[in-house]
Amino acid sequence: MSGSRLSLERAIRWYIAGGLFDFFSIGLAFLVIIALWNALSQGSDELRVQWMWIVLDSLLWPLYALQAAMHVVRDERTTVFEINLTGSTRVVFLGRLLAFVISQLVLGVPVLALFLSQGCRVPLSVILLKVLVFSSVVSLSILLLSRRSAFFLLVSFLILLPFSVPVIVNASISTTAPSGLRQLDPLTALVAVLFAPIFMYYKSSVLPFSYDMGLLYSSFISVSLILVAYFLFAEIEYNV
Amino acid sequence: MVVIEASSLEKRFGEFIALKEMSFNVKGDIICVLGPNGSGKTTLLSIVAGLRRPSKGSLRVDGIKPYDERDKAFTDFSFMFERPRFPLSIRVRDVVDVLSDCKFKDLFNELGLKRLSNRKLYELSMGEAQLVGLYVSLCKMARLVILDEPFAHLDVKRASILMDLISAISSKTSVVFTTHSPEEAELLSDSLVVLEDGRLKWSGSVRELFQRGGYEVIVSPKRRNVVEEWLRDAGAKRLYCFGGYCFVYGVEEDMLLNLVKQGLIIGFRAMGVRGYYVGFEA
Repeated sequence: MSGSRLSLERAIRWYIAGGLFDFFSIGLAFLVIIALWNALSQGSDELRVQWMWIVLDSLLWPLYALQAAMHVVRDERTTVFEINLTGSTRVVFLGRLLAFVISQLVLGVPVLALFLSQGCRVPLSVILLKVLVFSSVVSLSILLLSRRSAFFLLVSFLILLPFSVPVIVNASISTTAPSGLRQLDPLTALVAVLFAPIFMYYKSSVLPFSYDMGLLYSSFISVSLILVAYFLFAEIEYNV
Repeated sequence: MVVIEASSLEKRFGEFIALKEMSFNVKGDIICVLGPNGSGKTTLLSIVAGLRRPSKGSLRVDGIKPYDERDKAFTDFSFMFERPRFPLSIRVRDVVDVLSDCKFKDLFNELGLKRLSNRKLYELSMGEAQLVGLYVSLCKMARLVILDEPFAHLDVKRASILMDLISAISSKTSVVFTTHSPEEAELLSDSLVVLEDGRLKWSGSVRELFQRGGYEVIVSPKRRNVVEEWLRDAGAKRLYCFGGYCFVYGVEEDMLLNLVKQGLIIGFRAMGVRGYYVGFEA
């Protein structure tokens, strides 16, 4: 007799059924977007979209991602229960990650549609990178098997870093390049694209490499982190 | 039937040695790991389940090292560990929904989960959460079901139902469970692994255990001294009284039957694993 393994689809259903979509958070996010949209009605359409993106990039989206991530990050005992339920560490890991990605689409797709209808020029690849970077941070936080530690990691990488990027970028440019050459050093530039891709899309002139190259580097780093987390999750010793 | 084979198995957590070098080979449809709190039962079980790896030595379950072949172990084995607490807002009925192809159709009703259908997991008491954990573990009808203290938080009725369930499924799937109750161990299992302070105290089949010829005499602690003296006078070869029990070799069954009739002792039975538990047996 052999046991069974839960399909990935059912595992995703498990994470959704447990309250992945917090309608209060989703509703509040939309209300804030609409309020901001109206508050910025005085400027040009281009400026309005740019400001909206920056607010989304550095604060609103990370906050929304944080609450979704906290739903899929679980403690050790619950993780052991879910490994038993699904019959596989891989199904647990992928189920959590894909459930997180789905949660991002619920906010992302309508917002993107709204912005596209208003002539937004941020390419889709930038949005996808944002989701990819978030997913890599969530992957790492899943490894911690502690909601408290994961919360600190998520806040640091989803909120504090993206929020700091505009400050760091502006400070770096003004201190390191007093005349003519207003470019970031490669490492700072890479971190900036990684954590605030939408802001850096509008500031691409300060990058020492092309923005597309920045996207490529960031995607590579994010995918690598997800793969490392995926394989590590299968090797962790679980305390029961 | 499952075969568990440990060879110089050791597990350390930093300086603390949870399992001290042990070797054993046990087989049976139901295997029990028995020992007091802190004896290393759960650590041993987590290695059997593939959730932990040994610091030294090896452990094989039907020839495979579960911690090296985790994919196979997690598919073929199911497990439930003690003190289940799930901080999840998912409802019990959603668990049933996810496990809609449960191979054990009546299990939901037999465990009395129907009345909990609409409750969220975080709202459940320890015993109720344990029932959900048992449902998930038994539903899979895995090749091996691993249960850590399955009776610990259950009332007498539910514990009896579970005992019947484990006994019934053991014809189709093997079971390894832990307990600190010698009675549960002897009643249910074919083989035992007895631990104390992370050391192996004894391992073997329950049949072997009962063939040693001694008796466990159940006695009120108030009358223990009188009974102890009586047994010594009756020619007991080895005798040790502790709590509500006297462990004795070398007395006849008829003599003990007489003591029951006289009301001096409550009862007696063939010497089981309790002797190892209290230090009577080496």
